[in-house]
Amino acid sequence: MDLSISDPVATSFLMADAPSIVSFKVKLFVAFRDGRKDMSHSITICSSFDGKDWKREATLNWKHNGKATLVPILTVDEEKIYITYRSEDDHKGCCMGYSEDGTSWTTISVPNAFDLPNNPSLTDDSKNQKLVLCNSEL
Amino acid sequence: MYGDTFFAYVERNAIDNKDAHVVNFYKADNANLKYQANFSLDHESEKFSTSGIISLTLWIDYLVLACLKDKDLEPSNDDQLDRFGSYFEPRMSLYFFKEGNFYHQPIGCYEPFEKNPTYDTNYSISITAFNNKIFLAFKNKAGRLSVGCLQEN
Repeated sequence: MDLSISDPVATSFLMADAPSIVSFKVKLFVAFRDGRKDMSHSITICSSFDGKDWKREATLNWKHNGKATLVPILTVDEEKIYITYRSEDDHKGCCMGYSEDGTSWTTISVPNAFDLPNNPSLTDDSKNQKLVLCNSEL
Repeated sequence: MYGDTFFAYVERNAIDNKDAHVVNFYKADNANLKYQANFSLDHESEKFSTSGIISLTLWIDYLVLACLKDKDLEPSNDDQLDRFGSYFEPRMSLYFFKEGNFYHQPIGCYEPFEKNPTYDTNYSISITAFNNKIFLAFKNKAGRLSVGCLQEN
């Protein structure tokens, strides 16, 4: 197997942290925290049919305990696209949401008991028909 | 492999008084994680590490893991130093897992990250499979979103 990366498409979207990319239904979706590290606290969700022309689908300004957001992670199951991220205040608290189309998003309540020294990750355990939240305490 | 849930993390071990960064790889088995394999990030006797987020995806009949590996280098001038006084040359690497074995695929010496210390360089990459292709998202030198597609040469 001899693979190389094609010319990457550089977008106009300024990112503070790492992006998260998933395929959902017939589109690619990417989520990232806007701007530079010391600036925005909102998350941008973009979509693309082919990975070339990216369109902003939503801007999320969710906060946890009144504080900002850190690296968002996307995951999908057959019906929905999900997002998780860590709050920036004391690195505790996990924020989650879901969407059926990538444009309108609903918050999922998560207990405050989660202590997240690193960024959480959400995955779809389809065999057991449930979502699994991972963090570094596991 | 489709329908299974996989989990991977990077462990930093001290082996022979040298740091070794090892990826541990598990599969979800009901409520438990079942160990599958591990492998070192070192390549051809050169030592590599990673401090960023690694990413997994299923592609055709492979499980693919992507990471940006760091290699300590001697800087030729101070402009090459990051805010922590280090100089890294991030290298994009993919690992293909199939039937119990990993195949390493370095993707050139691509250097997607900004050295400007006003940006946070977290050396993270995200991958996903879409239409039988692998797409990679990362922060480029200008601090903006870039997305690339892997192609077979």
